[in-house]
Amino acid sequence: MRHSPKLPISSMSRRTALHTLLGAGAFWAVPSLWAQSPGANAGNGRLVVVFLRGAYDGLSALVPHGDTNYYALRPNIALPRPDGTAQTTLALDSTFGLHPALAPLMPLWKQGVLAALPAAGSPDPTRSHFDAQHHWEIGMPGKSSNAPGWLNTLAGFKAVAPENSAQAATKSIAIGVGEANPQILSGSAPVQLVPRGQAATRQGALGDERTRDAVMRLYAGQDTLSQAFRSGADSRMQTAQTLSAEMSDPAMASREMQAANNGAGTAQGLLLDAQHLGTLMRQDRRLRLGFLSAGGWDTHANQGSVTGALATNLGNLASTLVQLRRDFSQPGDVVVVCSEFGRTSAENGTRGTDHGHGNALWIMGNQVNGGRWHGNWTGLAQGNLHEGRDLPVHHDFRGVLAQVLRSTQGLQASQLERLFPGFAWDTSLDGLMRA
Amino acid sequence: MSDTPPPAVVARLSQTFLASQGDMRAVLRTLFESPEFWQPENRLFKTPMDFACSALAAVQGAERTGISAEADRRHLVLTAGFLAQAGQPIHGWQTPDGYKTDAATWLAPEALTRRADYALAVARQAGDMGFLQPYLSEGTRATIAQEKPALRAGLMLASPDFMRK
Repeated sequence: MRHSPKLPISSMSRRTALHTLLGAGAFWAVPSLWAQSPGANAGNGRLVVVFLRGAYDGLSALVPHGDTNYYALRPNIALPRPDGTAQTTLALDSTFGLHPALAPLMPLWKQGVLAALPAAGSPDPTRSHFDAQHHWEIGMPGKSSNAPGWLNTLAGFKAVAPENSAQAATKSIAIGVGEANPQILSGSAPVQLVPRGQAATRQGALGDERTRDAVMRLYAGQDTLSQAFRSGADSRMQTAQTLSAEMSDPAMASREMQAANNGAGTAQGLLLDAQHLGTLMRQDRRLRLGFLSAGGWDTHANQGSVTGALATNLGNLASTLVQLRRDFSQPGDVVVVCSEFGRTSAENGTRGTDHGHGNALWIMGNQVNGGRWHGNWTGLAQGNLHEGRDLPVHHDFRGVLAQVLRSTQGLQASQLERLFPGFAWDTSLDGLMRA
Repeated sequence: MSDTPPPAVVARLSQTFLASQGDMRAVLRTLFESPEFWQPENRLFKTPMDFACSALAAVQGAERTGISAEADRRHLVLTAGFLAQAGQPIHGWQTPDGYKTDAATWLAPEALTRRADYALAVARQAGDMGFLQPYLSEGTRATIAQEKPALRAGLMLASPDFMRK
């Protein structure tokens, strides 16, 4: 048993907190490789990563309507050129436009809080979903062996000073909604994992007091398994209570109901998961890092155009982002939407698209230099395509994330190097975030 | 035997494998003859599939006269739901490398509470499962003995003792 007098502990933690604050200030006085100084909110932001598993077709989301090659490569599935109606591409400028199903994002674009990078991704040429997702999640393109997820490593950087108490060490600052054990969150830092959909709102067997007491007595020990069980039980009870309380608000309940009724497909379930994530991170301000994911993007056949399977998924993604914007609009909050790779620039014989390379990546937040697209774009002329068929990766995803993390999480260069070993700072994206 | 098996055992097994030209019977004999194999600290944590299969075996094995079709169906529906929730749906892994089998993957706090849910649900209306007693620690047995009989079968399956192989 640990025994420490109460007073010294609280004065210690206050001193530790002061120390941490001073330390953070001192870091930015040290000359670093960054050209710009970090924003006033550096380190205070919350980060949500939305991963679209299966490789979404960015060329149908951020439509290059100004490029005639696009229409030549995709005779059946291209989004029509903008004509001002909701049945065609919604023009952003003379080069790009939004899929009409993404219309809910137009106000965010116009407010300048949403930006896109048309040709970003992992430099590794693999076309395997598994390998590419693994590379993204561990932050190391080309490495197939096991390694902690970068979001977990980041959680480790942001964790409360360990001297505070034994409790602080087990308190998560990262939360994932939807998946049982996503690689991006795996590692030594504690993480709260909440199941997909309505299951998150249920206490299950723990809801019955007598049963709960009995089960907890079985896990009363100090061993790893017992500690993990108790922490899981606390987290689950808390999650279910928080979400149920939110449900009792009629306005919220009707939205939740709507999301639940629509929640048959995986991309549709994303909206409900986003609501849960927003609620849980609002109620527990210690949670700073969030992860969401949705499948259903691997559109090899009949992906549709203005309407169809992909359009439905994109519509759900748009609702999800609008929902996330409601909960994540504090100054340093950022939402990143990404996918393991892009899809072929040409349609295939079954009116779908196959595994490609570069892809459009989205960033949303007040500190994002939004309302415009960033980075290099060289069009769809065959000579400019990767292996003659796919969008190139003009910007390594780690370079994009490093810009975001430096600006909103206040990471040091050495921390970024630990997060993404060997990555190169992408100076061409220095205008991505507002200083 | 362990997520991180002793190198000496791995070396012995690979020697047997090479010397016997891949005779798995010989390899397994070498494994079972290793003293490390029988050491209590060398244990594996059950994957969700291991956990579900062992729980079903215990529950259905408790029915001496056989399980009713209705109960069997209920068990399978519960099991399919549990596996999906736990991240190990049947034939649901997308890539050829298969599900992971280590504790680092499956020993996750919230997932443990889902095991308890499943254990208590699948053991509802189960027969006498006293045959599991020898596999439980003294502490677990004492705790469970204090509970009402209807809860005991489920608690055995939800106990820490039942989480490892």
